Amino acid sequence: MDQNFYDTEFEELIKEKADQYKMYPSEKVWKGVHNSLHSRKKWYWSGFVVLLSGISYFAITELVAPVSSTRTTKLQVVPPTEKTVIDPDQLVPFTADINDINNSGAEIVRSIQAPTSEINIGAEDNSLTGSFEIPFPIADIEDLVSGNQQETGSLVITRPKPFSNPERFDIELRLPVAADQSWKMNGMPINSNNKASGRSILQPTAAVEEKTELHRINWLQEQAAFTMPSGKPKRISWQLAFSPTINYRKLTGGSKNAHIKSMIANVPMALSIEGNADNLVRHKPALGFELGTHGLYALSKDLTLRGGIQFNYSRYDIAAYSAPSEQATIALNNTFRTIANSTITNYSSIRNFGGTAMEDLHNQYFQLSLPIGLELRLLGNDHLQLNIAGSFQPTYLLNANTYLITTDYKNYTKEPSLVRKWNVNTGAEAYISYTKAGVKWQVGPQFRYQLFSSYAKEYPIKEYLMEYGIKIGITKTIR
Amino acid sequence: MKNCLNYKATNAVLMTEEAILSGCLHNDQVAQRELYARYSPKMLSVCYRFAHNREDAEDMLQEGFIKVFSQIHTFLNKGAFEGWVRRIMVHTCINHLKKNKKFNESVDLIHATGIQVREESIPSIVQAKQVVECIRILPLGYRTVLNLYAIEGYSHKEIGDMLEIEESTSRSQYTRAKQMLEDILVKKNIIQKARKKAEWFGLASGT
Repeated sequence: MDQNFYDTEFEELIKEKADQYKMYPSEKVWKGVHNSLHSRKKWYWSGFVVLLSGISYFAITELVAPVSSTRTTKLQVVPPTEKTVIDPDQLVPFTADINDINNSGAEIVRSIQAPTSEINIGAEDNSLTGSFEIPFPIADIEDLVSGNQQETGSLVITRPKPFSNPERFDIELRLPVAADQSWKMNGMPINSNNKASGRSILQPTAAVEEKTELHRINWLQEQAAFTMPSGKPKRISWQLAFSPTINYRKLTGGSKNAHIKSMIANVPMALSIEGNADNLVRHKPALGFELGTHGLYALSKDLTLRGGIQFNYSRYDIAAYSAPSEQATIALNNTFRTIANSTITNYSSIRNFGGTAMEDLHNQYFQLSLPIGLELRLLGNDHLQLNIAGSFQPTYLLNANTYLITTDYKNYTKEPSLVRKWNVNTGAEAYISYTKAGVKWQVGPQFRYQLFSSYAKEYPIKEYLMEYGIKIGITKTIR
Repeated sequence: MKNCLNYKATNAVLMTEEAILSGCLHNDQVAQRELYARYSPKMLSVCYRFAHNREDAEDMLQEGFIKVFSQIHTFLNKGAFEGWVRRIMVHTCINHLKKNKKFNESVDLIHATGIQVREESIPSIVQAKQVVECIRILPLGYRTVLNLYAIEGYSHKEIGDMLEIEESTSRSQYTRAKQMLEDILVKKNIIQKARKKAEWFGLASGT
């Protein structure tokens, strides 16, 4: 009796003293709580908005309205195209041969080489007209071998009127002309009108002039159009893609040991439920989406390398029941994943079977991936194609709102510490594409599968996310 | 009149708590901050009794409050809210100890009986803090069982389930923990020796 009295009093004293004691946490604790509840959500939504804004901006500037008042036009000097209208984006460095005829009548083939540097005409120059002079060396073969640059010419690019679409430029060739020199191009003499200054603004011959008038470009452009080799094929392009998706999951695993451990830990104990995890829960697909932007590099005519960044919002629903709050225990695997040796206990008011009212749970995942993959053209021509593609996607989980089922399959509870942050997904798709005016439109089915479980290895039940979607993409060739 | 004032004051406190709970249910930051300010000092002392050090205790407190706020919709107004918060904190502490393997690795309950408590290891503190610090001197396993049984009010069966030990083990270890704590308290003159059972608590509470 005395012993019991003593025990009780001892415990009362300990409890009383322990309860009296208060400690004041440092401010960082509240910051951690607050950030966990609010800032992270703000952060990923802000990030998502920034990503969307960036993609939208590029989509508008590069795809929808390529000639924008805010765009910086890059102009290179020589057009290797037969078009009478010069697209500045298609201008590439060039070389051309002209004949230098000296007084003795001997002809020397000399080369003019335009500079490879670019002229940037800023957006503020949109209304600017006038001429731009670009010097370049004139060299014959001996000069090239010896490295001596004997003479220098220049190209004068004149923009006669403010930018319009299509843009037009007049290009003149200026060559140094000594008294004993004259120039021919493709056998036609080139006239000069200012020998006294030692520099000559060369005018095209009548035949070339006629052609120039016809095409509204100057003779050098015409020369380039007919004699220059075509430019290198363009290999780099940029893609924007969006996919509405239907998301689902596959559950596997669970062990009898974990199940028993969890069942024992829960109070009150209830009837044992065993079986395949996938068959013991009622989950159903839900809509999500994928948004991504990719850079593409054409390895060959049929094979393209693709890499980029994408955001996935995955979601599925679970049918459950609300119930009075009760203990919900998750039994964890040990290192060898065979025997449950530890548990996590939470309180939950959501049951898998039976409760006071039906309740739908929405498990959500916000993922950022860096997909890298290949696209293969199976059929088609330059305009219409059938392609397949596959990708490997290292994935980071930005945030998740997910309920885990306890290992006795009786309750759902949240346990963020068991959700895996890093994962790997694979993607496969087939699509039909149509290319027009340098822009490729594509549409086709895609499938995405998560290679590792959504949860940490300690959690005995494995979840693999799956997404079925229709991908819509637009691709712009850049260079 | 005095009773009336007391009633009003009590009612105001209750209303405030209701408002806080309602705000927290709507993820209101002011209400969350208020709830945290109200319970964090008590809950930190709970965590501190389980934790290895203050830093661990603050980690537990943070994790516990995140759970409180994210699961507050499961509180059904049955019983005291503080008790509900406290249960979450205790389970968070136990989970934390398990996750960090401090519990399983550091606690050999059977062999812990031989631990000697040196007089100089007892902090020179007074009253509640003195008792709490004495509890913290106990080996982790003893301390955990004693905390759960004597202070938090769990049964030995519940403790066995939580710590994944036999119920009988919980009982025997509690007995040893209590004995060890008593020795510490006697050495610190917080209580008198056990043979003066009827007097010891008088000394302890005779502040």
